[in-house]
Amino acid sequence: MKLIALILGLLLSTTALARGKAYKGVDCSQIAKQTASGTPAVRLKKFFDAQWKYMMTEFPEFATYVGYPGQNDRWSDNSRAAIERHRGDVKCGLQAIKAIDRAGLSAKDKVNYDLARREMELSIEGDQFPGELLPVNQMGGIQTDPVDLFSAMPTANTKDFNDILARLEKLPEVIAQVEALMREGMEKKITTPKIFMPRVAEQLTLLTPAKLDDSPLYRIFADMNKSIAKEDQDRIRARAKEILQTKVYPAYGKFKEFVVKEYTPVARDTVAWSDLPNGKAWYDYSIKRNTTVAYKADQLHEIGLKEVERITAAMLKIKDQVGFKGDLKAFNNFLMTDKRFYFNSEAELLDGYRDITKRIDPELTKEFKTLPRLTYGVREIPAFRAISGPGAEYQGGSLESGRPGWFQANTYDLKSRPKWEMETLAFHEGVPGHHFQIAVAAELPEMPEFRKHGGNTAYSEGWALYAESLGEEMGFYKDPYQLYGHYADEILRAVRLVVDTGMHAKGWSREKALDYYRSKMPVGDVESENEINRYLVWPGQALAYKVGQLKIRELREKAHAALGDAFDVRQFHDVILLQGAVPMDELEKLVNEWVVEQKKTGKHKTAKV
Amino acid sequence: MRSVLVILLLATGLTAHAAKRVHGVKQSSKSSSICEVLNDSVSKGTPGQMLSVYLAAQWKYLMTEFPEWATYVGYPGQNDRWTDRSLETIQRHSNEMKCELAALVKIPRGGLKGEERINFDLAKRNLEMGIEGDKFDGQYLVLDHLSGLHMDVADTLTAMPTANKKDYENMISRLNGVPKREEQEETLLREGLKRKVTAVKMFLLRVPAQFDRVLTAKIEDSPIYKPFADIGTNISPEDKAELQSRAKEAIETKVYPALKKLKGFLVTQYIPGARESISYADMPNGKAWYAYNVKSRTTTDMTPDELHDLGLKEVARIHKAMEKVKEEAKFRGDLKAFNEFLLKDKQFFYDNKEDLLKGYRAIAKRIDPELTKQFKTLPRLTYGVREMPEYKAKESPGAYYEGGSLEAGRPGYFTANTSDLKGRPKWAMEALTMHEAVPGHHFQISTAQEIKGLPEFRRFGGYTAYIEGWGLYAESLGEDMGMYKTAYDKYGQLSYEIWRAIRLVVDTGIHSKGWSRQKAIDYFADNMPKAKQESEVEVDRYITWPGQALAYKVGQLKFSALKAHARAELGDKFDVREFHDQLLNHGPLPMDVLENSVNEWIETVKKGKDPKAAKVQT
Repeated sequence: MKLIALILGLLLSTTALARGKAYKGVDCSQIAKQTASGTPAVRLKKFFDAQWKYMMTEFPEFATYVGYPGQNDRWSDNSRAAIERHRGDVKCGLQAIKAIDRAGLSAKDKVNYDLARREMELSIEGDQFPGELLPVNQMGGIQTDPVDLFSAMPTANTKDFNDILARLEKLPEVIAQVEALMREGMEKKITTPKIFMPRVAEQLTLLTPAKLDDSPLYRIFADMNKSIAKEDQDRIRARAKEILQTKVYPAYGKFKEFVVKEYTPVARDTVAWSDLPNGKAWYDYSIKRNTTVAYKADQLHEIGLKEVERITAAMLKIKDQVGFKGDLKAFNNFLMTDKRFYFNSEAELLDGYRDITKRIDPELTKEFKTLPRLTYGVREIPAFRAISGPGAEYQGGSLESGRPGWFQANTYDLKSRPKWEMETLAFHEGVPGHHFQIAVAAELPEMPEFRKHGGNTAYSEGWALYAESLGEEMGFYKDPYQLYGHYADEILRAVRLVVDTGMHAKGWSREKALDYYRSKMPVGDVESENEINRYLVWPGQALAYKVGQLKIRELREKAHAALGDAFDVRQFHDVILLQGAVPMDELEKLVNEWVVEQKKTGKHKTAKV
Repeated sequence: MRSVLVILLLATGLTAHAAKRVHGVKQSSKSSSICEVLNDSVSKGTPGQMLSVYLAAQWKYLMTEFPEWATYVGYPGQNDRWTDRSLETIQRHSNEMKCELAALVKIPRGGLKGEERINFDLAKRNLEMGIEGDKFDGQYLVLDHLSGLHMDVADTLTAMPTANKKDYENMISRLNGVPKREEQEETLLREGLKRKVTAVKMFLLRVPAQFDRVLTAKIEDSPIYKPFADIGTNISPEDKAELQSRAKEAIETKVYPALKKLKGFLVTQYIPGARESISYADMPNGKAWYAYNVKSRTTTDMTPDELHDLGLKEVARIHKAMEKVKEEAKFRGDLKAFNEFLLKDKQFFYDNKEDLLKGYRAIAKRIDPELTKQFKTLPRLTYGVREMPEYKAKESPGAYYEGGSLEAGRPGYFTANTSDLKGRPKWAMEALTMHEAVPGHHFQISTAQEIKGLPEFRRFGGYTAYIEGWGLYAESLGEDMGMYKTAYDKYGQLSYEIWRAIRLVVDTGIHSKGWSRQKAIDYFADNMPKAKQESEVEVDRYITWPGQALAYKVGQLKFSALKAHARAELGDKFDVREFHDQLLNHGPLPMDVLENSVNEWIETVKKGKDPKAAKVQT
């Protein structure tokens, strides 16, 4: 459920995150020289190499998530000057790629070229919207990101910990840059809605408890591996505490004071994106950015209403099937309150997820030819941010740096973690959802790095929602309540189309959105509020799930109809996954090409030994 | 005896069984014989080309002659047949092995480089071992309480692909082939009776009841029918109904009558004439036969006496470690009392099967994410945890591993014994999962299967010392991977280690030192927490598969020694992930070849070359 770009590495590149885009620039002075000579293929390859190196060094947090070596002791520069420099670099990068003769490239490289160019153009288009001025909200920011980043850093030896210490030491500078951007936002009346700011203050408190040992920032040092010598462990821990005490705590203390006393009082009272300067155009851009399709808000609203109706019918059928007497609202209420649907301990909940995920693992071979190497585990969402967190989330790993993927379950408030949502959630966040797709992409051979580690929300989240729908053919959702949970998760994504567009483009109030949401599925008050709040600070992001899933489903049905018995679902999934995260129109093109090729050769089931 | 390694049931040690001569179909008289084909393959090209053409032809021969092996490997097109087990074919295979060797040695070894040379050496060594094994009459031992036709049918069907209608038709074809197989195997058993080469009578007495568990009154309840009962939504309802009815007919009219006939033969003739002695030394040529098994299982020249002494030494060493952990657990009483406590106290046992399986799944899912810290190269194939079929749980160990195939779309399975819950203590579960699933068998076997650039016989074949040594070595990685956090779990690991040391003592005891079955069972009870029923299952297995149980400790000691050596030699340059890649990325190797390969790697790292260069690309 969590925004994938976030997990993949833009977590700390807070300005980029808030704008919902990554910088795709290159250093102008180098790029011209490096890509000046050779065949178009050679020039393109040099361009990608230079651009990737630039990305990794300019955005070291991204490098950490990817497992690119040597950047773990630094942070991205988010000063105004650096932001402007980065913007100039993207424009320069666009000029450099335009100078390469597209017609002289192979079919594969043409796709690479088109995707890279499109990404830069979209990024430049986005420069008119000052997302960098919104680096902090209740969903995250400098008050949560360092903990997630630290948990993704390698911890095998003392060198790794020295890197973490270096980052810790530089954290005050990063906080100061964030504050500067927020001050600029205050001046320009571009702020996070006021109602969300108390939650930010609360998160800051949780991050810096009185006892250093209890700080989420310290946890990585507390959990140090046994293979590190005792003296080194003691030294590292002492140093960590010293830095926290003398540098980091004071910086966060000052920042909190700024948030509470200066920012919150002047933060805006409105919530809709359309109420921001240039807000309507900004929202349209967010739709395009997140769905990869230039939809109008009205169109998505209508699709949402239609999907809600369709899925509601399926839910009603299950209610009748289990013999429940009462309407859907009563049934939803029953699902939210009956004890049988809830665990009594966090450990049971986590082991429940471990059981489900380990039951899914062996079924993957029936749906997929290409499986990823990277493994994944199950653990809990860190407590300090679980309160406003989703039911579960995925944190990506890196084969290079020896970090597994993590399905992270929310164990806060067990009464809001129903058993009937567990199977569908595991499909979404773990396998064959996010972990599967992201690991397969990262391991693709002969693919430019930006396609292995980048992507777009419609593809990533569309895939994960589509993955949920594979549950039945993979032998899950046998319990009607689990199937209902699956539909509840699907209708959630349809509801998002309705309320996201409703609030940001059609004048819906937050209360109207909440009421609509709660009337459609079993959901608790706190959770639905968290969701609605999330759509308010991440405009358009929530649209991507349903858009992507509907597209993949449509492509599967079309391919199946065209190929008949020759349709092989394992091959189809390879076609979808082995190109990395591409925009929807590109995906459609790839599937169409595959169908034509299959029809031509008829060799849909070549023996593979 | 060709060492054919069937990955299914690997961990139970059924490799030993599979290593009995398996027998192939008659070749069409029109096609040229394998001898001609192989001779042709080495007649032209560079030595490297010769070897590669030779190995490809040999692999094709093996896959077509031994279709069950092809099924496990995922090699296509063989799923509708069984291996021919006629006496003529057995003789033919024996002859063909000699010409395989004759053709192979025509390749000038001096012209081969690096990995090619290892390919050549291993291919040659395997054939030489196979030819040497033909001196012994293993081909007549086709049925005992651990395996036989009554189990093979269901086991093979379970491993077959189930993607489409054709896959199920192949199963039906195999069902229809059971009567012929029965006839061939009955002939072999009769011949064995004549030559006094039989299984042990006291174990065979359990076999009729095993037949009854398969020959259920209702065919729908038989494990042989299960793949058809489980047909999924990928088959249309009409096809499903048709396949089920055809399967039922084949089972009713072909399989059941054949198995009943075999059971009748066992009850009236084979069992009454079977041997009473439990020691291989009492078989014709038995002493030499056992020595051969020791050599082929351990891939070393260690004698039974040396292995026995090594076992005693290891038992004493591990005892000390167990004493320490017992203190940590604050137990009052001696080791024997502690062992009894661990076997009896309620806190260590589940009340129902489903909880036990969930427990294993939770452990497996805790291990999965830790793998990235110990290994650079991870296999793609996934694995699951499932319940052992009832019909063989009683004679089986706590769990075994069933290999999968990426090609065939079959996952690996950690298969857990859920019978007799009082014999499945929680403190053994972590070590058991480490051994059978990851980083043990599933990890090693899948990694080997997926190595690019290695000939198939190295990816799908193996050596028991390597494979089981790895499984036991994998158990020892638990502490580094966040397992064994309680004293009980740690003790569980140590008890699993001492178990394999005990095997050195007991296996050699029975087969070369005149130990009785009871003496062996008592030795277990004196040295580790093992329920009586479990230690009986164990000892009966050593009696049935002489020498197999020696491989675990021999292999693990080698892996551990190589790690210590590499660490000492490389100091700060030692990277455990690189080291493990080095152990795994050449596929299974005999112990001496493994040692050479690690030593070469150490030299490469010392010279500061990129260690990856020494690695086979995966």
